Amino acid sequence: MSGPTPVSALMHAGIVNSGGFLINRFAPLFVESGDVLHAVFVVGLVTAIIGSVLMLTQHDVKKALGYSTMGQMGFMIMECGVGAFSLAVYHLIAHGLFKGTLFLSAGGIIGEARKDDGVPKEDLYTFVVERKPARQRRPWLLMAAITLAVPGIILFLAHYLVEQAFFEKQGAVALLFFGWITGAQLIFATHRMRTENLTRLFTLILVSFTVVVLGYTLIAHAFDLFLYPDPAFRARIYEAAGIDLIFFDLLVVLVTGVIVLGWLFTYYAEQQRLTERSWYHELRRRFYRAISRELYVSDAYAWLSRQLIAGANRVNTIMRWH
Amino acid sequence: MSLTLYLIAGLFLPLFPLSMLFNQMFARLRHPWLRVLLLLAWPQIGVLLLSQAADPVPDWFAGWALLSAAFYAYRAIALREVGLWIGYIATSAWALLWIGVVEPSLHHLLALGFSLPLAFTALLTGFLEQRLGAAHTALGGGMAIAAPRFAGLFVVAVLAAVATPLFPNFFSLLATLLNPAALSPLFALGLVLIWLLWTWSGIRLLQGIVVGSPVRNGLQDLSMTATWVYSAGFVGLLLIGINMGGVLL
Repeated sequence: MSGPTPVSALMHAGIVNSGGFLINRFAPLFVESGDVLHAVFVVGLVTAIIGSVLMLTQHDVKKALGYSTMGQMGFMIMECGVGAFSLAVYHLIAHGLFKGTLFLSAGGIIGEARKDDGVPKEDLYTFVVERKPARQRRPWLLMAAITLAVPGIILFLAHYLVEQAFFEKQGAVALLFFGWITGAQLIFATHRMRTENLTRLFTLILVSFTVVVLGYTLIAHAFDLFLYPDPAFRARIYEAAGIDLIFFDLLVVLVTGVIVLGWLFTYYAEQQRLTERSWYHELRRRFYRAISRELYVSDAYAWLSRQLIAGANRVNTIMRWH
Repeated sequence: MSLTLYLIAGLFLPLFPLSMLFNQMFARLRHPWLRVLLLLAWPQIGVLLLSQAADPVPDWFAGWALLSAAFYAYRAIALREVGLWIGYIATSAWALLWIGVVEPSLHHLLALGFSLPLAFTALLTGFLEQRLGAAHTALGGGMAIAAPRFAGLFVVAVLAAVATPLFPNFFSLLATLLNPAALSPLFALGLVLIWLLWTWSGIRLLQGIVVGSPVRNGLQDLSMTATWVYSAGFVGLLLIGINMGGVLL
């Protein structure tokens, strides 16, 4: 991250994408070794979660963008793990374009922000930057229901439009699941935004979400047809990534249950002002400390490097540098 | 008789502690061209000796060689003097020539592949020693500002020395890795680890010499003619590397 910004842009928009690219190039090999795809999925999932969480706590713009790349790469690998190989290629192109732009713009924005933050003092600013949400005015149960149902319906319809039998593919269901979480999170994050016209805000959010989902689904489908024109091979990829159907269904139900309960609890906690309790603050502070220090991985790495170099120095001195 | 021959070869294809002789000699030689000569000739003598042995090299020599190579690669990460660093990387690289000994003509080529980029780096290091008295990170920081032409070439030289792809030592390393006589996960892991250590040590040198604020102002940069000659040399190295790749792999 201490390198020149154009180099970072090249790295994050180019070289790091090779993971998804290589898995696609070796698709015939992965089809024959399905178990590896399950490991790929787990590695991608863990990387996506850790990268995204770490990104949220970085104060350095470039570091935040770097961890964002880590999260995106994790998601890309995860897509390969569920058999959506071509989706990973579309993802890497899209990610390369937007991440390169973000990196190249980062320096200029920092320079301008030093003179003037340039952020208008309006509702969006107070909500996103100052973190001052409006007091709850809507019934929490209704909001929770909208949060959970609306993204699910949009995603289902978008997928149904492209391929009616998509529910037979476990990979498609898993991706649908992540899309649903993302959409629900979007509504959850914005439901307390200060606004004069709540209906207008929600309509805009839903329209943009629908456009994104439809665009993503259609383009991904087009990539699938272009990269893997043989329907039998496409089916084999999904088949190789699949797991036992009962186990898969159980897993979906379990994870859905955990997430739904988590969201319901979050709405409930806001309503009951649980977030103002001291134990909550302490828990949050500890978690924040760990992730803002990058889970101490950088510290451990720096310590190990210092020890290794000091050790090599000692050996060299004993050996009189010969 | 063969064992004695192997032990003598261990001086030239350095196995620790026999390797200390080469490093002592290399440290004492100050003239860049003498260093180049030593870097090119030393392993060739070892390969020649190996080809004279009647018996095949015992298996345990390969383990000894891998450990020697790893030991010098590890020691190189603490170095801040470029001359010593070249000696350590050479020791580490040549020790690998014991792993999966191939037919003599190819073995000479493998050794040459390891030596050539290091010889170029040694030649370029002469510039620092002439100007600053020593090629040490404590004396030569901030070269990118003080002597940009030299700094650019030095970055390429260090990248070449640590076996960056397309340079001849990369193909020598790859040929060693893919040698059927020594193909095993343990050796492959060891080789990759050694390569990683070379790279780490090289980047530490670049950090010390190329980046940062200049330690000394008013330093005279390489002349344009010398820059073109060195650049042509590196292009030549790349071409040799690509050709070697075709022969070795």
